[in-house]
Amino acid sequence: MVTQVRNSGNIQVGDELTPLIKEIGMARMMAYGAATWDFVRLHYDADYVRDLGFDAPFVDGQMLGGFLTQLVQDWAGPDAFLRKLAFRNRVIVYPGDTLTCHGVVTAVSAADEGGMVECELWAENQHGERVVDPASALIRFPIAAENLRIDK
Amino acid sequence: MSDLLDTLKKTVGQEVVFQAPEEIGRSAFRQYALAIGDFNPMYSDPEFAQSHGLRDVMAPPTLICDTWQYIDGDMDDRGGLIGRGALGELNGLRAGNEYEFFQPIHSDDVITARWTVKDIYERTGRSGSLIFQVVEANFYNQREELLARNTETMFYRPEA
Repeated sequence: MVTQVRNSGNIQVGDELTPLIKEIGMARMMAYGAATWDFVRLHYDADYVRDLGFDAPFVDGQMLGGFLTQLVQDWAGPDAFLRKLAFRNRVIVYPGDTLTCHGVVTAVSAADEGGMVECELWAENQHGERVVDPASALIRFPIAAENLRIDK
Repeated sequence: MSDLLDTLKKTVGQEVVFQAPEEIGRSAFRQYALAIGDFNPMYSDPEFAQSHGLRDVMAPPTLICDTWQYIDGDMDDRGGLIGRGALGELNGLRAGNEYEFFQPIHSDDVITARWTVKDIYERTGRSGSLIFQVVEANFYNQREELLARNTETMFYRPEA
């Protein structure tokens, strides 16, 4: 839920995004498959995936992009526009896992289109393994360049 | 060169274009938001979205990069929608994605998706040889405005 409005003029390198916790269950995985019209059995059919050599049905790696977007957008507020999001999937996520998504501001700059903030992101499972790493976001804030305070 | 590498090399430059049969629709936004557990009112509350400069609710940004809603066809036995061509014939695992967003997507947008295989390469790591496939998708609306771009890297084991 969006609770605050930010502008990039009060964001500094090193600021941490409020961590986002996600508990992964089969129902949510099924909901994600349905919501994306992706019916591949890898994400819900236990017998099918065992035959392919996996322990259990596993999370669609792009679902992590949805979680990271929520992390960023909740922190940045509704006036900020996510321009870029990049992530590498490192460890397979299974039902029963608890993920914590993190982020930290790595750059603040002025561009013609607005104030630009870059963040480094990552997500860990309950074993402390980084399931997504590295990851990054570029966010545009609607602020005139001349009003942007950039801390060197 | 392995057979799989050979097969995949031939897909470089191939383009597949999909034209959605209808508008993306507001319920698609709410369903995706529900699946993520992200109840941002920008995706569901028109008055809230309008108070933040939009003409209506917007899609959760990553929806367009992962949905197959714009494919108008049946599914195969593996659960994949038929018609994905070279993009859907093989079981690969995801290495990562890079998304770029150019403007908010609204419920009355009719999506055209253009997928192109950009690169195929082989890497040898601790667990042996892997083949990587880089695919780029560009998403447009009915006014041919570029909405978003997804650059996706999948990997395959040659012995599989």
